[in-house]
Amino acid sequence: MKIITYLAFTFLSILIQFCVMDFIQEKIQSDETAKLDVTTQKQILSDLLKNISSKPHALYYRTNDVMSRSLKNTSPSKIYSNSSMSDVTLGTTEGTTTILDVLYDESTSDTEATTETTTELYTTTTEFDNLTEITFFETKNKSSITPSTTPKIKFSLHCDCNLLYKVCDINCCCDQDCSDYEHKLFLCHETSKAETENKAADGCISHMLDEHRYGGSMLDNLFCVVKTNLPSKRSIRKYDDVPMGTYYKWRNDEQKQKSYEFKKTLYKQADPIWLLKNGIIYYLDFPAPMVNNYCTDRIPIAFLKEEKITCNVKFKDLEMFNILKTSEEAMVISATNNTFNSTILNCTNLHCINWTILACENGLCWNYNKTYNEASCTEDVCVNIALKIDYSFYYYDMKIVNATIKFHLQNTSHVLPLLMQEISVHFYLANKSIDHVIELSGNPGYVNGLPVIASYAKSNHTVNFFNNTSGAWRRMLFPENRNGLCVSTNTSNNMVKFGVNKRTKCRYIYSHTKLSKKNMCRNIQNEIIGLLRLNNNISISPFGNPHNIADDNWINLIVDINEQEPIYGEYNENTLKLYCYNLINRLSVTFMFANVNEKSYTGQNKILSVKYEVTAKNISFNVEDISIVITVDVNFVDLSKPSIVEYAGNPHINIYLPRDFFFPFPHNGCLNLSNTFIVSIYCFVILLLCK
Amino acid sequence: MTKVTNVNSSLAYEILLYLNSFYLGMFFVCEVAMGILKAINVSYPENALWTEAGIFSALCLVEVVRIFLGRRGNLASKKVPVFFSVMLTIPSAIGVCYFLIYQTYILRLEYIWCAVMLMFHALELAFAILFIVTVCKHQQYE
Repeated sequence: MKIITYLAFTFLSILIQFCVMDFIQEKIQSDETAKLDVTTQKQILSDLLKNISSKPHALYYRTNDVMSRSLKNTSPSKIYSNSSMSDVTLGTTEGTTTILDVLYDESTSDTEATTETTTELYTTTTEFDNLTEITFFETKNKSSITPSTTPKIKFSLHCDCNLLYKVCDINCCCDQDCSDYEHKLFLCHETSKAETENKAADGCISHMLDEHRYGGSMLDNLFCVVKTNLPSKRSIRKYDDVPMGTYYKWRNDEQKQKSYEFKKTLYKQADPIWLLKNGIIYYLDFPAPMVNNYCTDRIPIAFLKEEKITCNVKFKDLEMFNILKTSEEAMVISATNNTFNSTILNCTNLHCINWTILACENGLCWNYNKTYNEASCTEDVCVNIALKIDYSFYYYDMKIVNATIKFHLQNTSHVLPLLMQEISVHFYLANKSIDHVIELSGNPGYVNGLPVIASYAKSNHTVNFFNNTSGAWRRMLFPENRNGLCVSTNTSNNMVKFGVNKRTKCRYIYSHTKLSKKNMCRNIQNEIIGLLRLNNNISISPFGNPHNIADDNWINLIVDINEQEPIYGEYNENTLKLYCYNLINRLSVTFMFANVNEKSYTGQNKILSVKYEVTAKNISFNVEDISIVITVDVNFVDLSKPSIVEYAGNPHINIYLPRDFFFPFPHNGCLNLSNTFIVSIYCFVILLLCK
Repeated sequence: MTKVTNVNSSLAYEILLYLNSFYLGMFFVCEVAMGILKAINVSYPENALWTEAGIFSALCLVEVVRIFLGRRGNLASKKVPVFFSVMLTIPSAIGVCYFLIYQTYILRLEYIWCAVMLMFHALELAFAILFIVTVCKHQQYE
């Protein structure tokens, strides 16, 4: 009882201590707030804080209340919210040696691989659609579509989020293709302000950022790491001094329910997309999972917010049916300058556009025709079912100029209780289709998950890249696996993406079996070479932005087929077997890249070299069914310095002691003798004394 | 010649030492808890965690001896144990300063409780010196 009382007293005294300190702190804060009204004082304070941040005093109590208010919107400096920046779950090249070993496993038998499927590492969102015959943008007078832009804000040239050539990238504040109005849409000024103040702030920034979201308290503040004393690092690469300014807390996923109201103003970021149906204005939404993988919730499509949602749904509840109904009844509207003063809202004072619905299959798209493309079911199979839906909104001249929905049609089984549907939403600040916009794969270094830039021209690679109308000729394409068979078209989805290791396997079927058997092996070989594009001259751009890269700096890939073992064949008429020797059936492309500091930019992914290798095999065919499995391996090997941080070891002092430090008696000379004599006398005296 | 001493025990010094003994318990428990928290969440350079654990153990040991000697000397009005207690205040304060300034990751909470500990040290040092002076002054010889 006594001890408990004393303990309680001790804790009470500590509590009082904390309260007093908190009071003092608050007092200091209020004083500082008053001072911050003056610009010069603010500057002085920020300088002061910078100094304290670099050399913190142990007993200094940080007061960041002022900064916390403006820091809540701080976002990372690199924002890749554009559609071209697909999320990559895989792609790390750590431990590539192991991967290579696995990939080069030759145990795969050709005969076993009857139902080979492509090794897909991720689902792509970028399509190469053949849209040459479709014009879904309204033809307008040039004068009407000229945006009312004001002079652009000048930013530094280095802009790694600027990935669309001559088109404004969403949320890319340094993109010089964006007008002032578009920069305002991205809230660039707020972000840059927050970033500036972020530099001046110290202590637990992350806590302050999340204060409003998590309802931070003084207790959270106490668990902040305010200072680190890590030893110097050996690593050349720069790392953040984590966990400076971090604190640990359970995640709070509580979401606030928002109510939306059409405010008759121009679209702002995160506003819902508005629809007009029979004089009623409502927002566009799409299904989303709430607590599990089922589409039980619906969320509004927010302006300039890219979305990609996958959820399970029953057949009758598929979103495509809902979209078809909505697209017939409702139009996409944008408020104009006249809208605000109008009392009756209709298409005379609103900008209304109809939906453009495209049906796509195997990369080819066409206008959705209700007669031909309508979903229908037989006993087992349902045809023309869109499990993948892409929304594309084109915003230009302060209004949505085009709203396109792509249905990726496929056949599904009717008996499946649930189907998985994928819905993507993309926004583009352009008045032309994204299929005709040149997309860079980084600026300047490659970004993981974006296509590797290739050129099939003999020279002027950079010029061709920016002039070529077809995107297929800017990418490195390989045959695609469609139902187990190799298909190689310009709309192929199987492109090489930076940092993504991928193996593609598909079956090639030789169709000219009736022709002479004499040159059959050679003909098969030629067709495989064509399929793998080995007969093309391919050059690879070392950077994701090939601007100002001379032809000599492009990496040329040449496979000299003539250097391979010569192909020859043998036909046995009795067994009807065709034997082909040294038939190329495997291609391996290994990209060596590194994180380099080049062109005055730091930490840019650069392809240093590419190894193009083919493997031949002796294969026997039955002449009635000549088919072979073709394998394409793409690997990326990171040659950068290891990312492991090595801390400096303990100090090592090299002290060279004299040889006779522990035995200070020289071996030779008179001294040696005399010393031995002295020691002997000592020993004798000690012995005498002992006795 | 026998030494006769008056009752010179300092009440304030005793209270401080008494409170400090409890505070040390709390400091020990909280610091260990913080150490576990940090060890789980952040990566330490080689041997740094063990070094800090060793310094902390030594600090606690020194503190226990210091408080024990201080209280014993104060209650028995003996200056020698108090003198040693004062001497032990130096390594103890250095140890606390290490956790306040030089440990690998410093939490805001550690700033607070290390400062409180230093405050205890400072007050105890002052009262201990006063006590020693008082004892020396009032020493009588027969």
